[in-house]
Amino acid sequence: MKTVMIVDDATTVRMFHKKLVSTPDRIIEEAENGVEALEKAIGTQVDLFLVDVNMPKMDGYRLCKEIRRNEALRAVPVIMISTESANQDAERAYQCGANYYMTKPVDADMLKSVVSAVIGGGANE
Amino acid sequence: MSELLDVFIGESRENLESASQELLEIQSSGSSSERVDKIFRDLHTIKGSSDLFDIKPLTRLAHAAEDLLDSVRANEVAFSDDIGELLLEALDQISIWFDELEVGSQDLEQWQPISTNLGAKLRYFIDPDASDGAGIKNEASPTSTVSLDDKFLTDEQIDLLASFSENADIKLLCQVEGPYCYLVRYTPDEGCFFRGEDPINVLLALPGLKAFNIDMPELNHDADIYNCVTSIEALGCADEDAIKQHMAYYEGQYTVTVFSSQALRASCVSKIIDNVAQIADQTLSDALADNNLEQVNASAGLLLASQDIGDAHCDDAKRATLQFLSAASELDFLRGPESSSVAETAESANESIGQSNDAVVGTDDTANVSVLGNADEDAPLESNAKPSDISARPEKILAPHEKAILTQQLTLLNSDNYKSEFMFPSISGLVGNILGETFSDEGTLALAICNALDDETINEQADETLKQQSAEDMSAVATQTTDTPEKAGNNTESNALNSTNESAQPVKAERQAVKMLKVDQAKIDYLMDIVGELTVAKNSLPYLAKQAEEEGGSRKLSKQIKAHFSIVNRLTESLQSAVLQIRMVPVSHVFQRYPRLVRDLARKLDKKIELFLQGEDTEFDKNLIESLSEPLIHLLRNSIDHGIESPAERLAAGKSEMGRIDLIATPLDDSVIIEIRDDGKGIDPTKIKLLAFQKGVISEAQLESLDDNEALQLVFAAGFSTSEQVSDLSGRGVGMDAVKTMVSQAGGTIEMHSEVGVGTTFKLLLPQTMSVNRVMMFEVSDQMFGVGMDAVVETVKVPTSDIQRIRNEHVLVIREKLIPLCNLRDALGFDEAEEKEEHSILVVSAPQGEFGLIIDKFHEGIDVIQKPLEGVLAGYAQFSGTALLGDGRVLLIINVQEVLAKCL
Repeated sequence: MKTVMIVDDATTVRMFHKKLVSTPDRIIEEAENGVEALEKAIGTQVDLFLVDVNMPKMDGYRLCKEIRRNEALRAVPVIMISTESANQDAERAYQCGANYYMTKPVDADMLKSVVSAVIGGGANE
Repeated sequence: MSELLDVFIGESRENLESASQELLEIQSSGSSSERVDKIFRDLHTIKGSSDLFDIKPLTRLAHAAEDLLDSVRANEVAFSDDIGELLLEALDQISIWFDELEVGSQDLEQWQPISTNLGAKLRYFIDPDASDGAGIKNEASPTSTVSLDDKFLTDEQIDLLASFSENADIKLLCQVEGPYCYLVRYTPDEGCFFRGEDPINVLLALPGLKAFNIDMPELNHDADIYNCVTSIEALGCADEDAIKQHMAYYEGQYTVTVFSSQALRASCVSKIIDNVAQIADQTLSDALADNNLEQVNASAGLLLASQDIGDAHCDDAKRATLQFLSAASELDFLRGPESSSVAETAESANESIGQSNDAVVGTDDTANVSVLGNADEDAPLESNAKPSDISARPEKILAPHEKAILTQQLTLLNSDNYKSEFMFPSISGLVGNILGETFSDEGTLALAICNALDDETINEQADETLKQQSAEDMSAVATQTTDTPEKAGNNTESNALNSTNESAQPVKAERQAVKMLKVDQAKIDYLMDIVGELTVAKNSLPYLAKQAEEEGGSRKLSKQIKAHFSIVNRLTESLQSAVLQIRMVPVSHVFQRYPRLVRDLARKLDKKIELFLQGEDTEFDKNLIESLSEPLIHLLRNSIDHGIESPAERLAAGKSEMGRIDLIATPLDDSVIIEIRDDGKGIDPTKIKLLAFQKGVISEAQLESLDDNEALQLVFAAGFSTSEQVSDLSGRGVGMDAVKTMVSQAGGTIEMHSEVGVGTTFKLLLPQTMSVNRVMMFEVSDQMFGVGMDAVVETVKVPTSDIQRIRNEHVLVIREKLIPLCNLRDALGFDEAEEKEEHSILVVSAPQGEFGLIIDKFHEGIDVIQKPLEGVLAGYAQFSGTALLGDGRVLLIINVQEVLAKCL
């Protein structure tokens, strides 16, 4: 069983992403912002973060940095999903420690494939 | 030596000559685009033809020279004297090679370094940075704009390839090598045959050629078969630069499209699968109609599988291929031994694609293939092999998004902000997930990513395996994959061959449009001989007529023979002049060699000399002009060496620095006057006289009596050289006397005029043709002799008493003009004749004036073909040649000048 944590302040986006990446062999966790994500993640096993950039309280960049600084979470891959496609945002995401950067609207198949590639499984039945 | 090579060398020598002539023109009067063009074309012809004989060093040198000229032509390189010098050197080298080729003593090994060296020098001018004057190969960065990452061919590219037949697909798939493939569409210029180009050969020599198509339009029966109306498409593996280099001389006649090999391969596979899908579709509907459930299942599976591949497109092409294969083999299994077309197709496709994928997947049986086919569920692949061990590691087939992720991780690893402690865990974990490996440090991690991303390794491995498969296997596979097995296989090849033959035909055929005919000179000479004999045979008719009248007593017969003779005579004369016309060539034929000679010698001597040619159009018998080439060279050398002063001397003498030599040919009746005039220091007659005396050429008495003009002619005396210092140019033992002998043998005369400080002129008077002469026959001591009619002034019979004696010489006064007499009996070494009351005297003109020859009896004038004296007789200068008479007797033709020289 792999755990994916979807971090986004918009409920519809979370639901959409959840629907996309859900498989019988995956647990999906949700968080509305960075702070919540960190609180939930510590103490649990998380295998992948799907992180939105613009969020209240703690944005995606900051969250990413925190994950990398946290010894327990450090090894967890982070995929950032943003509405901005500008290169400098991708650049900044990578600087903060993201492993991959995707732009909204996310291509459904692409997201599924990427998640599958990163944590395995996810054959689409 | 082959006949073809002979022709090639003959032709190329002409090209060389014309090229060096143009080069000299450029050096003397500046560069012009037409001249550069001309030289370029000449070298191009040489290069093109030499290619046919596989004379690599020569071809390469000509190629280099041609490239340089091309750059000059395109105004990329300015023509300089250095370039001209170097090109001349190259031309000389090629000429030397031709000499060796002609005698068959060529040693290509030895040529190699010379060619490389000269070639590099030439190329240095094109691009000084590229070659450093050494290596020939210009290592320009590839200009190819094709991305190696192209997964599939674009539709346009597929359209381009459409002309290559379907069965070529698998063959191609198996043969593709290297990162790039090309498609060349070559539409040769219509007149290419006339330039000696062979489009097929050009194409066959393309680097990495795999297949080609020839498009031959339907020819109407009135089409001109000498025009090349073909277009050819060739497919092969090489990068664009290589193609451009190869096709450089057909600029504008070809287009080249370059694809990535990977894309071509992928397109081939998908094309094959499309074919299979079509068949599966067909079988499916058949099976449905037949209610054959098993077959419906199988066909549907096959169809679905092939559609899957189509949908997956580039994403999972290889994986889907394997799925398809497993389905195909399942079908085969279901259908049992009596397999029909679908199974066969699947089987053969299985073989071909399976084999090509084996290299990638590292498996070799279908069972494994099918497991891998479902790799989505089981992935990632487990492996214990070390990531660095590429060959042992089963290659993971990466989807594009996986590649994208991996690429990103690699970027992260290499980024400036990378901090190992923060980033390594997530990256290594992520990469590990994708590749199915674990990593302990950045090094192995980066290496693993690189390896996984490096498509080249995959391709190369695939290529290796593909190459190992024999060509027979390939064509067999190709045969099976198509609907019409009997047409497949060698189809492409045989098509190509047929077309090759067809389009090569016009090249071999006789060229109507060519107006000049090149004939072996020996043939013309033979014709000339026959005409000569005919002339002689014709001359016997009057004898016959005379005989008929005198002995047969038949005036009627005699008249008839004479009438007949006039007809034969007229025809023979026409024939004769026609043959002579064939042999007439403009003197430029010989003259054109001289500018080079003068230039070279002048440079050697540090003199500045310009040669001016005049009357080059004057026509001359080829044999004659060629026999004159040597003496003329000698005279020119003399002028350059002894005549023209050094620039300093010239300036001191108030002349321009630049010396001038004129070479002038002027036609005069049946003769040609050739003058060599220099504006050098001239010859001092006194000096000549003294020298002649010192050398024992003249006696003390002559030293007194000779006038200036006579003194000058002494230079023609045997063993005379005016230069106090023997230079390496002239004075090599062949003196002016040799020149004089050669000129006399050609039936000509030579004289010299000179004025100290102003210059020297040699004047040669030569008969225009060597062969046909009208001679006046006469008898001395019962022996027939002839003298050229043009020398005869008049014939007189005078009583012995009219002959007077002045000092030791006999003279005759005709019309108050004193004419020295020469007794031919003495001159020719016959016994003294008994005293006669009347003498026959033949008055002839010579350069020195008019003279009378005392002979025995006059005969008529006659046309003869004069042949030069050969063997031991050649030493007798008093005879210029022989001719056969109609009754078979030999006529000796005297050389008036020589005879007079003996006489007086």
